[in-house]
Amino acid sequence: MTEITAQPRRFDRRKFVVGSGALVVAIGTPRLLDPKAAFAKASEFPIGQAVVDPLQVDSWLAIKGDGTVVLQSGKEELGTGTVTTAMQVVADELDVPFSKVRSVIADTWTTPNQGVTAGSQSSPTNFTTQNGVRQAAAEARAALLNLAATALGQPVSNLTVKDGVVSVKGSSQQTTYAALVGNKKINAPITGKAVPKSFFDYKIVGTSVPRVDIPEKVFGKFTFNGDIRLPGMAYVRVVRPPTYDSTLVAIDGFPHRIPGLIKVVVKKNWIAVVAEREEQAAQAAASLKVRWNVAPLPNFSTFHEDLVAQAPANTTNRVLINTFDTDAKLASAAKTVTAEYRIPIQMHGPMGASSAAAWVQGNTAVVWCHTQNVWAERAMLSQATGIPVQNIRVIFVEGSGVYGLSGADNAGLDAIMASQATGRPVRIQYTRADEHKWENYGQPYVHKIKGGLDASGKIVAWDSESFTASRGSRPGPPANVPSGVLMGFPENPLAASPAPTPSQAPYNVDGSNNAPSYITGAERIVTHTAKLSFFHGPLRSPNRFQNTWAYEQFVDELAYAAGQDPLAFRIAHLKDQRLIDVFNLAAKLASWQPKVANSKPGSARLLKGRGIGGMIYEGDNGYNASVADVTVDTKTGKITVDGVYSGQDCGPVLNPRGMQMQAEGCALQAISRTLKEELKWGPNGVSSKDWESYPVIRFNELPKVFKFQAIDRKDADKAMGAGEVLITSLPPAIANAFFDATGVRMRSMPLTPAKVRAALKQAGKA
Amino acid sequence: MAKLVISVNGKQHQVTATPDTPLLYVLRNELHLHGPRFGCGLSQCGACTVHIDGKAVRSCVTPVAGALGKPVMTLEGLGTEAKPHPLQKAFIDQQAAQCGYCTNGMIMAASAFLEVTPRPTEEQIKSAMNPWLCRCGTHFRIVAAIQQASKAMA
Repeated sequence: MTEITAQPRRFDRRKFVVGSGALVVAIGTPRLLDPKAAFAKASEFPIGQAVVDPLQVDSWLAIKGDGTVVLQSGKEELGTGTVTTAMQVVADELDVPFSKVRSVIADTWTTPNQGVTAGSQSSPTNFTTQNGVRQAAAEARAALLNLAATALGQPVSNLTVKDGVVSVKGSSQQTTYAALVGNKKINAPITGKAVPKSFFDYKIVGTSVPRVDIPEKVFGKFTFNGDIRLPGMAYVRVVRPPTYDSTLVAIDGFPHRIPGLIKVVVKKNWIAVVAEREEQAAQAAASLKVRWNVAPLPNFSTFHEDLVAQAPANTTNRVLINTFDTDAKLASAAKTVTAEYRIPIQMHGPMGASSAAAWVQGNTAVVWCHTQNVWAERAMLSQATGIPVQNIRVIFVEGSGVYGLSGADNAGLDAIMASQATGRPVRIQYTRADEHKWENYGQPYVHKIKGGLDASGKIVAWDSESFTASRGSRPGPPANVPSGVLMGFPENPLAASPAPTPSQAPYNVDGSNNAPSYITGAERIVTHTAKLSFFHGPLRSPNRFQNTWAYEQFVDELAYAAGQDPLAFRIAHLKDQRLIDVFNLAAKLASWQPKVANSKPGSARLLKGRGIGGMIYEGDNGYNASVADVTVDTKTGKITVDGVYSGQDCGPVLNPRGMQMQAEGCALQAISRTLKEELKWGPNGVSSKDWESYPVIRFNELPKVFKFQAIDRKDADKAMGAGEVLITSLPPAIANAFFDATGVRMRSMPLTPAKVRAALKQAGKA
Repeated sequence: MAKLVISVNGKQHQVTATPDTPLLYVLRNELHLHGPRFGCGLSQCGACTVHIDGKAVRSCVTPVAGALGKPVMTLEGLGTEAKPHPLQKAFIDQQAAQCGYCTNGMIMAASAFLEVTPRPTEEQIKSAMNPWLCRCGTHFRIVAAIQQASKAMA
């Protein structure tokens, strides 16, 4: 590590003490983000063998002396309400009021390793598996009742619980959880034998309990990641090259003296400036003169064509399904339809640019980060710093909503490296451009699909080839995130193409919605993944969003070719009753009138249309179908989404309003991505550097009608994720509605006014 | 670096900063406030919104010098859990937050707006709030919360 321009300021011990008295980072938080535990002097940080045994009840739940139950959640609150929902099941299983439940969230020191909070897996994990909160709470209840039985000299079958008070049936004899184990360990293993209550018996699960974090957020008392202060804390900004693979030629320094500058830290092509005050760090980063050897980005205007051209020589090629009769069935089909669909690179674009704090002291470190996986982040930070993994504590502190792999993990890496290089506790704040230009973006896609229909309008073949790009990923090797590459850590090579594993069961084969949900007769599904300049990572509904954009438009094109109503055509080709049910529910909410799309073409300037889309998320993790109503202004090319009608089935509804909030967020992000969002760049860098150059949905673009209904299946064996289903089904519904309105297909997202005008003009409709 | 006196949430504070330091950094790093947030630093998203003289201002691009001698109010000063502003109550009632990062800007913008337009139509609300961004898609609930607060304040 090269260090230049050091202007160290002596660390003032007296200031440290005074400063630490002002370490008010969380006031009156209901989530027990205890400032003393989390933010005390470094010497008091418990760092060491931080292994939280997931097979002990005490790792999941603690009973305080006042009867408060603390959930130690390995799953994070990312703005989706998942921790509130987990607290609901704790209250229900233990028979305590919801108001007596608190939570501690994702800390490698204190919470069980529940892995990444992502992929719509929190509800399935917590409610369905034996490694989740529901099971842990049932185990805790069983253990507490055993203790009560001993204390009261009664068999467990004679005991009842209400509000944390254990009573003997028909007697005044009682005790409490607090009396039994308050502030003590429960000392019971997770046996796997405790039986949770049925969804029918829950009183709190299934109700719209308000989110526990919202009050602090509306009073300005919430501690977000960027609010963390450490004694003697310095501030960090990064200085990025123009493009990802540019190399550093020379640092020419500052045009004028930067007050408060502590250090410019350089590691290969990675540069960070560290200063006493935030505005000084910002000034330093903005004015540092650096010369780079610029590695140009791919050609923007031919990006998708060039992506396709990478295959098969420079791509990982996978044959996911091959029934070996697709070519023959296409050759003998009465009608064939061919189409190509495109998705641009889109960004997570969290409203708050990412931040992180880190404090390296010798061979130990604490990092406060809004990564979605504190354990993987810790492993990555250990690799990058050489600090043993057990000496690093990573504490999740909420940032702004991320919807996948934003800059959060990268910020954690930047922070720990800057702290290690300076010996100072630090906090990094990305600028808007740092976030916009350097995140792990959602994946671009091209789908080329050919389908066949027989004379009766039945699908006889479905032949899909997709092309995408991938570089980096969630934390693993440091080079999975952009800073790791800048620092010179080695990248994983492009994965080798696996041997084809032909399947005779063409149905949602890989959990990424790579296979259509429809009965197709013959099927061939091939994917190609290239490695280009841009970093990629999961963006809300990764791959599923893109695959469904293609498939749910293509099935509409087949319906049109068959001369059938798009809904009736779908249902005729579906076999999963739950998917059929959500299609019918969405249609009912929208008062769907069967007709062939664009069968009554209009000629007015404003054309109205209606479309539908739906899918089973990941093949087994949530069902959604959505109807979209649009108005197309044929003169300006502007599409307005007037209405969204959506039916959903995620098994038992755990928190109805929480699910509704996720549905609303999905709908508005879907409209934003479908109509507006596209990363733009030139050879010398990404030009989508802020909200002007990467516009997202605003208040004046809300649909006037939003109707959402969920089927509550309390008897279902599995709770499913609700955070990614509607965003997957709605985009193709919007595109299908555009076709219904205009008779013109728009297969390339986003459907911007300029592209709409061009498409209408080409079709002779404008 | 100068010693400056600013009035925030009804109290005088002496802070050390150069006059061109963004007010946002002074509020967050010197006064340790958690309401105003850094979103973009470009006056585009509104997460940093505070009131100066009762007007909604983007504190990320407002130099601290611009707040001298004028009352600054942040989300913390608007109301408390014991005495919430009607908008704060409405945001809780309507659950008008997902991640909550934009919430500060939404409430501060709406409170300044309702002072000028106490009985807005839905279209007026959307138009007034259009310069404030939310990435989670909480817009329906934010509109509903502003409508609720407007009725409560009538």
